[in-house]
Amino acid sequence: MAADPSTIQAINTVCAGPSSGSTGPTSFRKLVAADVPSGCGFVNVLRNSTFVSWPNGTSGSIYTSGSGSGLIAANGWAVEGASADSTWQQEALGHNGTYYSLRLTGATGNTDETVRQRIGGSDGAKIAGQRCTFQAAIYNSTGASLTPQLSTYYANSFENFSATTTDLSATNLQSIANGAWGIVAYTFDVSSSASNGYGILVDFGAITSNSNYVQITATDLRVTTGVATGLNSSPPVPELPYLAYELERNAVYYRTSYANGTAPGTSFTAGSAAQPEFFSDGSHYLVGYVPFNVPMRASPTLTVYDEAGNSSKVSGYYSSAWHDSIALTSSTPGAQGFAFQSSSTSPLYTQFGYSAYADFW
Amino acid sequence: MITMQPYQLTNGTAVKNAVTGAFIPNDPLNPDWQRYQAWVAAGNTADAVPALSAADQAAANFATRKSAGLQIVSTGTPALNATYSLDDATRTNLSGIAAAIANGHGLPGSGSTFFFQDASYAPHSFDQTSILNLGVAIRDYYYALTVAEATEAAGGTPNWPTQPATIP
Repeated sequence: MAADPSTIQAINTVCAGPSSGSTGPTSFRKLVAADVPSGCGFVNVLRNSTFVSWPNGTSGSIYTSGSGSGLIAANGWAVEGASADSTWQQEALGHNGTYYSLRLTGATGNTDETVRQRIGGSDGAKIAGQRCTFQAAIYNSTGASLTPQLSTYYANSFENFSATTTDLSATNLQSIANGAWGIVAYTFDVSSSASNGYGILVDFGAITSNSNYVQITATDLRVTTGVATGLNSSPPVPELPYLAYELERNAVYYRTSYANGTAPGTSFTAGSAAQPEFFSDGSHYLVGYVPFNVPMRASPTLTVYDEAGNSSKVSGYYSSAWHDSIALTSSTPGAQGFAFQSSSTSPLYTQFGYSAYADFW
Repeated sequence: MITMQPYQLTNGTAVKNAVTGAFIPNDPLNPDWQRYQAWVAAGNTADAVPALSAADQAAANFATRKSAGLQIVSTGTPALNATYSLDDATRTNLSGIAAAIANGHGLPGSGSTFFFQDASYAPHSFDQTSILNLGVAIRDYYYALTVAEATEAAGGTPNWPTQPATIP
């Protein structure tokens, strides 16, 4: 079936304008590479490359092991180290087109710090079997030259990372002088199994003092057909989506009812408009449903908090006051939202905060 | 010694993380569910759904009875026989009507009778005496419910009131 000429016209107008491209009538000419400026086309399969989404607050500890939402620093970015005392934090200092970056601070005895992201099968399919380039902007404040390493792997079954296979073994990226930003980039062939889901790991090695740190931002992983494999000194301009798109995109994987940059379970003022609030007649169990504005990747793991931050509890208003620690007897999380039922018939108003997690850790 | 498992069953298909209180949905693409499945495959069993506390059980019993309403049997006016709501609005309405009668303001509409709806919104014709009888029956039944709830919540044996209630 022939493409609708008006659609082609629209694509040309958006991406290139009517004056560029191959010769021929504007409405029917074929789209060529020159029509697609850098950043047009959703080519970067990594998310939160601008580090604008922070569902777990703006700072935290770097765990030595574990799983689930506790590993997440910036949305989509898991951090893991070999010292319980090392920390992560948001930095309002970006590079290469970003405002924010993720900072990893060392600690005495630390032997390793890493930043990781996993992407799902639908995103992995874009790069499966393709020659790709990974890049990141990294600030080195470790007190010495830094040579980060990149390694990658794919999930052995669709979007299940409980068993993985190494795709790119740990490989040195470019060295970065102390006290300087550097753009590291590496081009490599991605396995066709990336359509199961794909993971990248940037390893900074040991950061052995709490006055030393690294920052990472402006990350990009995309298909770069025809580019030579190995260290890449001239990677493409990173695709850095605008804020609204990135916040909504990341909510597919990990969302909370708290403000961006506020950790789940942080206390709030009951009765304020800051969290979901429901009304009942004070005679029946409160049964409600919280819809998500965009569906999540999978049914999320759901944690509900009362105003004081007690998990699996809600706050309720009765006898002219707000009360905490009212049990949530059941909850059914789904990709579109979640239903719940409280355990008390007393409250006229019920309020709670929540986190919903469907990332791959 | 009872060892608490890291997972707890729920009344639905989700399981609960006993440490974090998180609900983990039955979704093969959820990583926490994948870990739970691996844990079960290793021969482990989640804890059963926890029993309700005395307070929660009392609240549940109270709510069931309150939402069921009160069946009224009138020995003198069978047309009043019906189940009447025990919700807050109904009880407040009856209190207001009783106060108006006591103050000499008569019934709503200022007639000798008026229509008062039962729990299924069917109207019944009440005079001053019969509406006061209904109000007293509902008041006493509801009071007995609250006493029984408090007794059960405190660990005692509740004396839940029985139905129907008979009025003249």
